[in-house]
Order: sequence, then C-alpha cells, then structure tokens
Amino acid sequence: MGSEFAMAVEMGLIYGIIAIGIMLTFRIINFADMTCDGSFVFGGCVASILVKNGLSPAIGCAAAFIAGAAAGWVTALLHSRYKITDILAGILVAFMLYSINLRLLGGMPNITLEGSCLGNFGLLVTAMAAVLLIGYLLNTDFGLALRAIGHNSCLAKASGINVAAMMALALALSNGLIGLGGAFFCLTQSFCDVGSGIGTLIVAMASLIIGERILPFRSPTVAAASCVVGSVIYRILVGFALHGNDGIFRSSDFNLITGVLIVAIMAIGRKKKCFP
Amino acid sequence: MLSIENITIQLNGQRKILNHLNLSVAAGEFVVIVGANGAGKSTLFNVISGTIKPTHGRVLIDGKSDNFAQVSRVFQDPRVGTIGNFTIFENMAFAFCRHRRRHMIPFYGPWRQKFFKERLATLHMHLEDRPDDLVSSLSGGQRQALSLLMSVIGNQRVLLLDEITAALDPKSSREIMALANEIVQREARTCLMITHNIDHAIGCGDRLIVLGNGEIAKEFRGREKKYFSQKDLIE
Repeated sequence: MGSEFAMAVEMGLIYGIIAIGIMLTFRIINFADMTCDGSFVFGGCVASILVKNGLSPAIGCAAAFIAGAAAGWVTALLHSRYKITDILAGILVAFMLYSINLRLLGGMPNITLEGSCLGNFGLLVTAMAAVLLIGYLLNTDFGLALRAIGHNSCLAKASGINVAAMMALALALSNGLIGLGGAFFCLTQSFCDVGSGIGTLIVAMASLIIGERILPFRSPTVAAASCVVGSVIYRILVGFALHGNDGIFRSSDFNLITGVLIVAIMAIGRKKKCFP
Repeated sequence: MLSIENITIQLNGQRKILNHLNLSVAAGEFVVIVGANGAGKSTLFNVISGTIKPTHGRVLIDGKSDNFAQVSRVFQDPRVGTIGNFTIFENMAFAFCRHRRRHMIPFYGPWRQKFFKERLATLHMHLEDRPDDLVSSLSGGQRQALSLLMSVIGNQRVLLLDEITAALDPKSSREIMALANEIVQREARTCLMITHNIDHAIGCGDRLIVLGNGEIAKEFRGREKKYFSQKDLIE
C-alpha cells in the first residue's frame, strides 16, 4: 500500500505540472486547447530519445519543454493567422504530432529506457518551481495582460496589447509545461508509448477541478498550487478505488472512475470565487 | 492637437462610411458628436483609436501619425470597458499600464495601492473601500464610472466617450455625465463624445458636430449649440 501511495503522489506531481499548463489555457486565456494529448507525448518522445542517446535527463526535460512550447505555438499560429477555431487547431496539431512522435520513436509504437532516470525529489522541486513561477508571472503587469486577453479581448486590444502574440506565448508556456510533464512521465516510468497521451486532458482537467473545489481562492499562486494538490488527491482517490477494494474495480475501469469523479465533484457545488 | 485629415472608409470598395472627413480638435477641447445610426460616428472613433485602418487619409495626434498610444476610449457597455472577472484594484492596475510596456513586476506595490485608492475616492462611490471586490459585482453605473476613471489613469491625451450613458438608467446616466464633465475638466483632456441624448449634446462640450452620411453635416460652437434641436438630428 505504501508503494502505491508513493506512486500516486509521483503521478500526482507529474499531472499537477500538466494541470498548471491546462489552467493557463482553459482558465487564464479562455482557450480550449486540445493540443495537450499530442504535446504530452511529444515531450515524452523527445526526452526519451535524447536520454536513450546518452544525454542527461535534465537536457531531455529542457528539450521536451521547448518541443511542447513549439507545438503550442503552432496551435496559436493556426488560430490567429488562419482563423481556425481553437478546438480544431489543437486537434489538428495533436493529430499531426502522432506521426511526428512515431517518427521520433523510429517507427516503433514504444521504446523502453534503462532504469528510472528521475527521482521524486526532482519532481517535487520542479512542481514547486512551476507553481511559484506561474504564480509570480500572473501577479505581474505582464500576467495581468495575459489574464485580460482571455476575459476581455476587446479592452485588451484597445489597451495596446498584441492579443495574438500574448496568446501564442500563453499556449507555448502551457504546452511547454505539458511537454515537460510528458518527459517526467516517460523518464520515471522508463517507458515511452506513442499512445500514452490519450486522456491527458481529461485527467488534467479532473485535477484542476478538484483543486479549484479544495482551494477556491483568487490568488494566482494558490490557484497554481491547487492544480498540484488536486492532481495528487485525484491520483490517491483513483488509486484507492482501483486497489483499495479488491475485486470491485479493474484497472480498465480507470476512465469510468475518472469520469464519475469529475461529474461528482462538479455536481457537489458550483465554484463561488475562483481564479481568475 | 487631434487632426483628422481627409479620412475615407469604404467597405468592399462600395459604400463609403466616412467620406473625405476633416476635423481638427484643439488641446483641451470637448467636442460632442451626434448623428443618426449608420452616420459613421463609431467608425470615426474606431479610426481615431486605431482599431480600423482608413481607406484614405490619416489621423495626427500631436503632429504624429498613428499615435494611438495617446488615445483611450470609454465604451457604451461598461462590461466592455472593464473586466468583470478582475477585482477593482486589478482593473485599475491593468488600465494604469495602458499602451505602456508591461513589465514582470508585481502590480500590487504599496505606491500603486495608495495611488489607486486616492483616484477611486474621486468617484465618491466608496469603491476605494472595497478594492478586492470583483467588478462583476458592481452596478452598471459604478462599473461605467470605474471605466471612466480607468480611461484617464493612463495619462492618454485624447479621450473618446462612446455613448457612455446608453446602457444606464436615467439617474445613473445623469451621474455619469456629471462625472464625465468633472473628469474631462479636471484632467484637461482633449475629448470627443458620441451621444444620442439631446440634453447631453446641448449641455456638454465646447463644440457640437452633426455627422451625416460620413460627412460633417452641421457644426455648432459655444452659444449656437442651444439652437440645436431634434430636427437637426433627423435631417
């Protein structure tokens, strides 16, 4: 049970970083970004390939962040330059990334790495750094402009803000964090699968919603922290549902449990005063 | 100060919304613009604020072309001029950096808190006592008053008031107009105001312009303004 708890916390921290990325798009700039499922695997593939070729996990993670950011930037470009709707632009990029990821893995659907490349301490430090960094960013004049484009783009434009550039930046940052999460996932599991991104968005959304219910405060730092807290709680709840009642649930019931959990939390009560 | 030179806006190469319009506004002058729907009033504001580019002509502010950083605008709907999901303080901080470089420094410094509270107190609505309230919880009148204050906090020299009382009840409308007059005089801004309210058109400003078919149809200055009637508007 102890190892299962540690694993739940580990997964919670990884998906907490991803949930912060999701918060940036869905809550801050009001952009329904579906790139997530693709950029998660993209980050994972890039990091795995680099580590497999002898580079350090830190370089792999940095490259994964940049790769994810590039995917987010492409989504922003499709949306602002070619007027493709936010949802479709994200789906298109995620769709195209599947082929790119397969190419990165040398045409194989998955690869294995030798041993776990990352410790839980590194994960904890990265999650805390992401919380503090995003919290600080959103508390600045620049962050205020970022928040404004999602809630009143007309006023933002009239105030001299380049909405398209700010959106591209937010999407790049968001998907960079998601790519980083993907790298952590692959490096801790010592395994990279091209299909592992399916459902990333739902799991991150579940973490975000749970966090918002538990810590319903307007402080950006608390909001970012709530993503990590929500993610860890979500993983513990799912872990308990799957392993705590032998014979009732199977691991294949994961999606059903996640869906029911999200519906239950959303039904408990509408949020009163949440960020932003 | 503000010079609109030969501005033409033509849609799809056919209908002209503004037709070779020329207008010069002196520093500190308050010009009221009236006209029927479709006369080109809001389009003129869109051109001055840089939201749309004219087909021909140019807008000079302080002798500089495309000097849109010197323009702030109060919209008809207070929900457009403010951000409902932000607190009063956050809205003020957002407006404070209008057309300026937005740095990675916290927006809630003690100097700013004091400054914003002083400015909010000038509205006489006790908003300075509730800086952390969400703007969505304010009434329409309070929200429009905040929008007015936000438009002058950034020190832009040209202020555009676009039917600022259209969405308000008569009492709030009176209060907001009085506040707008007070702010324009106190801050000594060059101001252009669009209105459909005849009383506001006659009672406010130094000059009254009637816009029709994208051109200046009539112009009244000083005491001539009191002879302006509903008939002039309809014609």
